[in-house]
Amino acid sequence: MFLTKKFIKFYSADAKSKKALKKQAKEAEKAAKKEAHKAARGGGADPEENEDGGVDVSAGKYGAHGMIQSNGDAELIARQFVHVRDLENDKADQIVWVRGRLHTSRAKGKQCFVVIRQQEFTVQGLLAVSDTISKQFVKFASNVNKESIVDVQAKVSKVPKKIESCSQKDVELHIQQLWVVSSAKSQLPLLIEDASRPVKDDEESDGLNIRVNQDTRLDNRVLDLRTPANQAIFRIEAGVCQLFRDILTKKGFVEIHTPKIISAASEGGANVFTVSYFKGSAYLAQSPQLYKQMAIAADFDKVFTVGAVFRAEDSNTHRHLTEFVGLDLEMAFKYHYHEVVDTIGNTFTEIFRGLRDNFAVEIATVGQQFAVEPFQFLDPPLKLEFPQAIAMLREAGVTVGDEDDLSTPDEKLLGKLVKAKYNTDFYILDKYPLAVRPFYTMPDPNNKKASNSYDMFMRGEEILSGAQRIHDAEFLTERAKHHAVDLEKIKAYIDAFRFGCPPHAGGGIGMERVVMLYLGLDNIRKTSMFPRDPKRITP
Amino acid sequence: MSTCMYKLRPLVRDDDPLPAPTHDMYRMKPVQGGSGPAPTRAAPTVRLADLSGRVEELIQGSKGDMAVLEGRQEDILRKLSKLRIDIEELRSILRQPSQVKTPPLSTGTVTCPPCPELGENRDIVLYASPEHPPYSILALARIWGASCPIQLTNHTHSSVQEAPAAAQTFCHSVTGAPRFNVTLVWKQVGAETELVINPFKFTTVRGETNILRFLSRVGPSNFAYESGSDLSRVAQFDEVLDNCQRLARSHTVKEKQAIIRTFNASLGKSEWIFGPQLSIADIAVWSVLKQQEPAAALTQTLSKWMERCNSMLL
Repeated sequence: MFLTKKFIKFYSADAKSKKALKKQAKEAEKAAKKEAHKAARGGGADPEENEDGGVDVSAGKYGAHGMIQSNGDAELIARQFVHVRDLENDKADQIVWVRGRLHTSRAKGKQCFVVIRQQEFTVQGLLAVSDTISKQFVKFASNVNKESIVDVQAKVSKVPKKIESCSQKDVELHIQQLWVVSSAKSQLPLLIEDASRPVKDDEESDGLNIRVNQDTRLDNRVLDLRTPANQAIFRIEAGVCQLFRDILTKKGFVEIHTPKIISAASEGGANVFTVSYFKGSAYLAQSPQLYKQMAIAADFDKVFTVGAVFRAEDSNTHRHLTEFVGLDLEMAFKYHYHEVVDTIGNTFTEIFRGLRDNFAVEIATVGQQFAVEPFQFLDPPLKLEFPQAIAMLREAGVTVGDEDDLSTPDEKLLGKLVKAKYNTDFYILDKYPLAVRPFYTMPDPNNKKASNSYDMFMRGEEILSGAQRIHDAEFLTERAKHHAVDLEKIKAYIDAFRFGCPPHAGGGIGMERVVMLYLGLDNIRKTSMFPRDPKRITP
Repeated sequence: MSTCMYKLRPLVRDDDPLPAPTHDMYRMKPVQGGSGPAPTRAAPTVRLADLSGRVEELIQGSKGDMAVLEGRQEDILRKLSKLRIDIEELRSILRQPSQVKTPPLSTGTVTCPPCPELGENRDIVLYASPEHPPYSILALARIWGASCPIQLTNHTHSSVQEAPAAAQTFCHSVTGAPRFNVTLVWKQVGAETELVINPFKFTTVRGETNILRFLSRVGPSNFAYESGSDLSRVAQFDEVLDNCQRLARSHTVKEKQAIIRTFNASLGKSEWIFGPQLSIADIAVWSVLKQQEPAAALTQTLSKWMERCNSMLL
């Protein structure tokens, strides 16, 4: 029947060559054979009929579960599951249900070893032919596609020798039932095993050294995200966000939400995405700065915001994304902007300490795949002044001008020098030259060439750039003129300060960049779940 | 043009008609007819002699102008020097109040020897374990005082869970520019307190007493233990310092007691370890004994001496 159907379909198409026709026939034949073979194997729906003709003692203990549509089977609803993470010695000799993915399966004669994975935790399962386990059951288990979701009923038992390949090293599961809940395709674009293999620098490392290309990973992000390292990275990222919120809320900050569709470019005009907006056009916000400052002018005193930020920079580097999550804060101060610098510095230290204390397991998991030095920091954070940094660079033999901005290689070198001298991966660089900062930066009252601005660095890469902003409309106009900024374009910005505004300072960080640098990863795409860059807008 | 400092006269006068080429190869008939013979015909040759003559004339003439020019230059220089004097005056007026604030340097004769390794900022980083707080650096900051101001800040490294109780005392800020910037970092380094000067050249000094030796060499000369005294005395100094080093690393009570007895012996009946003057040796012994507190049992003389030190150095 299968054949005829195919052929009818084929003839109706009517315009194919003889060769194609032959090929089609062959394929159809193959498919039919496969179908027949499948039926003969007897797995799945009808386990009673099998090639051996013998009675299957394990009938009703394995098979496909069928689609779960919440049909309210009381027995199933009452079923208690144990997380793989909790399978330890104290569960020994108990019978448990586990739902996880079939990580690997390996049949060996009358035995079948499987590894069940739930999130980043893995446990070994064993299935051997016995008077309760049939040969057909073992065969079925060995043929389940990798990455399928399975329900397993098993007896937990201690092992004499630690299982090094699994996260649960002290116990294994003696499987009694195995049901496939959701089957994966037989051919996977990448194997989780390959994707989670430790990255080593030495080429001569023995054994398999299959690596998965970054683009392949991103194209199949759903599979890639299942690796233990990725599970940990995104839990750490959530931690950074939560710590940022908790710490600032405790310090008396208010969370605000700023618009992402704006009428005019907030900074300059370059690097913004234009979107059509009814009959005209609008821009995607590249920084919430103006709105933060307006909130300060509106007496919120201390504000922070967490939200998407867009940059239309066509730079394909390891640290640029076109859309990222910005963690921004702005704060009014009494007499000196160092009040704000110290608050931001302290926030960072507390985030780092929170990660060190609450995410040690996750950090270690990431460390297993990407071997990097743990992040080091000082409390209170190290604060250097720009001339000090220039002096350090000059001692190292770099020629830099007093009023030059630091180039990226110089920043990297400075990071190394600071690390060697002070043992810290995080530091604050204060008092940047006025010439290299935007027009709204407050100049230093004691030194005409310096300004009240600061950058913060992690592992030698800039993560935050902030300053005391000019809060006086007249002075702001003067500075804008000096920088030859079109006053028409920034009218709304200047007008925000006409009704009195407290002195304030602030800054913003990119969440993905902070996580990347904290963990010491080499690419920002590793810390963005679905990264957006000039060459990728899917998935 | 009148504001221009050095005026140049035109070499070729632009109202002169230009000489036309003499050859007729590409000659064109005047397009607008009836204008008579071409004016170029009137000047058939380049008047080179004419031109050089004019240059000479110019040079001759400028000799007269030279005096005027010199006069103008003098005038400008005079104005500039007057401006400089004005600025100096202004600067001195502006400076006055700040000079009143800073205490007069009575120990003006005290100088610190130059140490190029320290770099222009004289930034020093000190790593110390919370179990071995380097009290000696605190003492130095106190006794050097205004003659060599030390700015001291302390940080806790991420490998240490909590800052030590003594951390709050390790702060010493100075008004004005400090001579040394000391950054103290609490880190697990055991008894090997470490001093880092230049990470680029890997210049480090290990051990608290060695750091004291180093600092006394680069610090004010009246506290340098090597200068002014005879060599046998320096040897005695070194012995005391070595004993301090040993005490910091000893583990058994017996060992510790033996070393403390040597301190007692060197102190004898005098006020300080080396006579009537407080010295680096006192600082080193005081620091290491303070680290042992309260476990170490001290003799009465030593306890009294400790109290003297506490009041002087803390």
